[in-house]
Amino acid sequence: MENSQPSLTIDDGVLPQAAALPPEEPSLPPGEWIKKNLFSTPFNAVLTVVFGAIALFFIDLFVDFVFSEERRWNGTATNLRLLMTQGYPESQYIRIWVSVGFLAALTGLCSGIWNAGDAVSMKRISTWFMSTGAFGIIAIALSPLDTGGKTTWFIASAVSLAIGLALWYGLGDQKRRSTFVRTPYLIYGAIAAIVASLWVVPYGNYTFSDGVLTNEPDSIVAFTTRWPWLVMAFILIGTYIAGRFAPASAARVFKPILIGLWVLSPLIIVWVILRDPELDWDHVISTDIPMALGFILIGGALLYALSKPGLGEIGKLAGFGLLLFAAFHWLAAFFGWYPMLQKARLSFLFLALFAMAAANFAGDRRTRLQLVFGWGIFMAVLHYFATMINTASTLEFRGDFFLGGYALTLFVSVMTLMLSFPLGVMLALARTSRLPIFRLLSTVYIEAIRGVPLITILFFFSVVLNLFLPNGMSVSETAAVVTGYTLFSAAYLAENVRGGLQSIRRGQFEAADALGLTGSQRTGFIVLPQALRVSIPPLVGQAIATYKETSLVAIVGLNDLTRIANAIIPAQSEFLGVQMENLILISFIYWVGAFSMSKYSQKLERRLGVGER
Amino acid sequence: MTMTLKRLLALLAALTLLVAACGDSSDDDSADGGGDDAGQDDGGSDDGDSDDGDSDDGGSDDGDSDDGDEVELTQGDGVLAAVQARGELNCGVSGAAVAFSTLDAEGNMVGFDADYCRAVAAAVLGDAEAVNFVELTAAERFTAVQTGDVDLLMRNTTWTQSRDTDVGMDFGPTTYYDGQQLMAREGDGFSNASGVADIDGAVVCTNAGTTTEQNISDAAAAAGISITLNTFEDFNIVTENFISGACDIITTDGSGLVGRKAEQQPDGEEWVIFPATPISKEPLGPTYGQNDSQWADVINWVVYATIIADEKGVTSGDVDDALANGDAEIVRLFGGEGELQSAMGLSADAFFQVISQVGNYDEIYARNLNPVGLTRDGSANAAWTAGGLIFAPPAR
Amino acid sequence: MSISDATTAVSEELASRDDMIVCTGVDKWYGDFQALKGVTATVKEQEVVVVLGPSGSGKSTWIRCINRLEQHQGGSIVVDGVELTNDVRNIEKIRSEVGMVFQQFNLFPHLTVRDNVTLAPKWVKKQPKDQAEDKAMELLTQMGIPEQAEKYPGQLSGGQQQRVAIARSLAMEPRVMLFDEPTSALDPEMIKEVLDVMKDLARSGMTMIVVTHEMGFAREVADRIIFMESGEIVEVGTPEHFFTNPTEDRTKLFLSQIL
Ligand SMILES: Nc1ncnc2c1ncn2[C@@H]1O[C@H](COP(=O)(O)OP(=O)(O)O)[C@@H](O)[C@H]1O
Ligand SMILES: [Mg+2]
Repeated sequence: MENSQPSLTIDDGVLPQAAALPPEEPSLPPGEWIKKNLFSTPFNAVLTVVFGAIALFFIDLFVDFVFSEERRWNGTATNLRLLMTQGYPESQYIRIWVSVGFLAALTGLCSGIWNAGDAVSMKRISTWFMSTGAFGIIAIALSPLDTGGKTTWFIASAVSLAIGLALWYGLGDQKRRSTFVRTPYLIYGAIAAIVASLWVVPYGNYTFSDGVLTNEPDSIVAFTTRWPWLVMAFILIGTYIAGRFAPASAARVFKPILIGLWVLSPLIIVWVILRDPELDWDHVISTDIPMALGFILIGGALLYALSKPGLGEIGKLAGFGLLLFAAFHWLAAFFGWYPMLQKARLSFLFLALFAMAAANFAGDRRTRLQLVFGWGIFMAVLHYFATMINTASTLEFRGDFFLGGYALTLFVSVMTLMLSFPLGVMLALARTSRLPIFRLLSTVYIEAIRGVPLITILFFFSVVLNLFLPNGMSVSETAAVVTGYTLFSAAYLAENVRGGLQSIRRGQFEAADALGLTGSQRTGFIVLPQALRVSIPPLVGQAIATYKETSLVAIVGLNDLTRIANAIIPAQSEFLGVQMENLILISFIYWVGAFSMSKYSQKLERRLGVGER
Repeated sequence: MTMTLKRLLALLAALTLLVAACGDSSDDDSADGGGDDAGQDDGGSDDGDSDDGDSDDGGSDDGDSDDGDEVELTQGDGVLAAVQARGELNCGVSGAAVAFSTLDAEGNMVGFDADYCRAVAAAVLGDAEAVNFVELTAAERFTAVQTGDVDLLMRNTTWTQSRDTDVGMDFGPTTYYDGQQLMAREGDGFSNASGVADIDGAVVCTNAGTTTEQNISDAAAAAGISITLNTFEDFNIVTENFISGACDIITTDGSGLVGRKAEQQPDGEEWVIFPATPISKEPLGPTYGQNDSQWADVINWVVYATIIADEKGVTSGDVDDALANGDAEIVRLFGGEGELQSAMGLSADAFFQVISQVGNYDEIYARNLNPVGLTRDGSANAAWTAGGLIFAPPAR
Repeated sequence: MSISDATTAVSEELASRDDMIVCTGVDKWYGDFQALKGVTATVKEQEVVVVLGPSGSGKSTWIRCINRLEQHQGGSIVVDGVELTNDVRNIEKIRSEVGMVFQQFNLFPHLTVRDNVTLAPKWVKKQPKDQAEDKAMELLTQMGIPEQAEKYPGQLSGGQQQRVAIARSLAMEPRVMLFDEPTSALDPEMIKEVLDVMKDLARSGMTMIVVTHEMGFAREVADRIIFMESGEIVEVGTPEHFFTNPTEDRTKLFLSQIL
């Protein structure tokens, strides 16, 4: 699933295809394998036994802890909704499903069109089944579960082990090594199986009376969510198939659109789908639409004029003038000199930036129109979201922000990553710039931020920022925290990107210069794409850190996953002190996210390596 | 050359965006607000209050609040007027204070303090649900009042001299008399009649960095005994250590101990709370900014109304009956007669709404504090007629 | 500065052509070290000049000055009538007229062969995409590697990569091509395929300056040979003159070492 990310720009051609893969290494029979790997020398045998015993001991401790009579899992189970979305109204949960469906459709289409994923040998698949089963049996044998629960889980583990063994011996050595299954089929197959099992297995039960689970079908998570999940699975698999069989011409059109949708998806989900803005149509028709059209048309005409070939210095001067004009509006906003819609200020700023880039498009009509169309699409998107964000929500929600729990955790991490990425890249470019003032400013910024603990920055932004802002300007705590986190994360990101920039060989610069590329073209087409590729492992590492460290916002009082688990639920009168249970659950939630990101980055690295060599 | 120029511009753009992020929530009306400010320069701090309060409803729904600003500015400059113009009460709560303010599984703010926020909203706005609960950490709470982020603190805040004077807060009538106590196992030879003098040599645990730590040290010194004091980060961990036996005795506010006993006392063990007279006084009640006596009156009388209704035995279930046939004080309080409420800027039926939508003192107490084992009988929180301290001046 | 009389031994036909590159007293320092010492030379239109000289003699430095990868500090360089100064427009103009091929190929590893070739025409010359791609295929065919268009540089052999690099430069339709030891990083069996392409190019009338150690190429293709040492031009002459009776001792020494 995660391999469908659109950031992949390597074409399908270099992907290993199932048929072309060399067979896996042959394997020893189990007995010999154990002998060779675990008991090869007396010393190794001792090590195996000792560390095996220690491992078993800790598994036992953990399982005992989790299933102990003293654990009050009902506190955690009852509060699942609070943990996931805090106060998002139950009547509007359809919006959450729509968001999931939207992501499922994007994922399916992308993995189909890009034909994502590689292949796994049957040997490995059967090993997975066998080890899952074996581990399950060990854990269950050690757990103090009541007999009923034990048998069910025992059977499940035994089935997994049996499937593994059947695959292993059924196929035989030669076949299991040379039969490959493409990961999309594997993943989608697994998803279909899990969804189908919702009809049979009563996963999750969230209603308790007097601390006892009530086994009503309408309180069993599996039964209450099986229809929506079924729809999601159909969307996911359906769009995958559609993407897989889409004609190449359609695929070419869709690829940029899909990438755009991925980039915009956090905004679409949070501000359009989940928040459900209550559009004031009079205002939209009288102000918003005319304003957007005005910027698109007048700005477009201006850009067309500025991209006239041979304009030379005049074009640059015009762009610079526009920039001063835009900057002036921002100053005015800061000091409250005169009113102007924020999005108008933003539009002027971007118009100035587009104007500065216009010279790069000074060519024939078609090239110039490309710039104008780019501007039009950009403005339409900007104005659409600005309007949505500034419209009141139809939802009844109170407080600083309408999302809490895991939804807030995801929101803070995604927004932080999205915003700090461009900022970090700019800082990195500035730090490697030839102009000393840029190097100085960027170095000072980066070193200053990196010298301060994140928590200090968060405190500063959540508590103190509003006191520093001019009169009449104020930010919500969530926005303040995201801003602070973004500034922090950008500094680290800049260092990662700088590492990438420095790894670009001088020859690349010279080749670009010799071809007559301008400085910005050289940076944009040659240097940055390569630098970012090199920086992918540290960047993903940082994304993982950002995701996990959002838990620090709990300390400044935002109700993210950690705070709800650690402070809110243990304070509920019915579940006083239920804390360990929540922490175990959220560790698992954080782990799933972080682990899949790191797996994804490993795959990405392997894959990008192919085109580079 | 061109490249460096472009980078300069890019950086400039980044800086402007940064400023933009700061102005993020103000969008459409930030400049309008600025304009208003210019005309209202000597409006003083209250002006700032209302502005901030407004923009705080999220970087989200500013679009519509222009009008609100103007109405509010023509009506007056107290917190009451600001709240009425806004149509919503910003009430500062803890969000993680057992039985006082917590989020339930549906994400609603519940608890004793939360209900008093609702009572104020019912009186001022006629709608107990028109409350925007702002969760505040202990460190943020007073700043939040000073900057106008909240109109009112119902955040189990102890009324102390320095807070009343130095910090610039004013305190309403105490809604809950709390006090620090100790909890131990009966099996270790303690009983409800034990005193501080009996804990010589014990391991006492509490959470770090609060006055509870100081109070117990002082009490032990005064009793001439020596104890081992262990502190932990939060009280959940303190309790875990008590259960595991690492602590002989734990100490915090009595309300907290009772809750822990009700929820976490293992089967076959008996926990006891002592001494009967707490080792500290912790009067908890509404807190608001000083020098706004109209707002102070409103808050105070909302609390008194709940106490008077309790005294007269009027509950949320029988308000209509009481308004029609009740005694004279209740009729006055409910706006059936006289101008008492209108004089303080509220609608005549303000307190009727409080009792009908939220309930009287006893109902609020029972709803939130009984489930964790806190009862009024015999405590300082009993009515004055029953030997407690809960008392209200007459409504006339 | 002693340029031998052989300079004048250039054929009359060549002498009558227009000047393409005129270097007059070009100086270049790296810190205290003077890498070019008053280099004066003229390259005529459609002429092929091979530059010889021991390692470190300033050959690369000189041709890199011609398209402003290095900045010269004294003297003047005029390319097709445009003098190289700090004026950005002049630099842009000269870079679009002068192509360069490097010893290490310097292809863009993250772009396909086709994109390597079309990038500059699209973004510097503002050619429409189709036109640029047609031209690219034409050039790749000319280089004998049309089937490699969709591959990445990392998937090609050294000789193929260098031919892509030549195609990439030619796509900008330059009037002059500079080659800095284009075959030095290649395995012996690949050298020929690159040299053949260069010979074709020379025959087609391209003005070329080639730094190389391939004496066969020099003898066969060069109109003139320039011998450099220690940042100076020591001797200039036709291949015939150069390989049969060089006048300067330093040239003789050099030739005796490598032949
Ligand atoms: N960037 C540089 N900094 C300092 N010295 C350099 C630099 N580039 C070249 N040189 C020196 O200039 C001289 C000429 O170098 P180069 O033109 O590369 O020689 P060639 O190409 O003839 O082998 C050498 O001595 C070399 O060490
Ligand atoms: Mg060289």
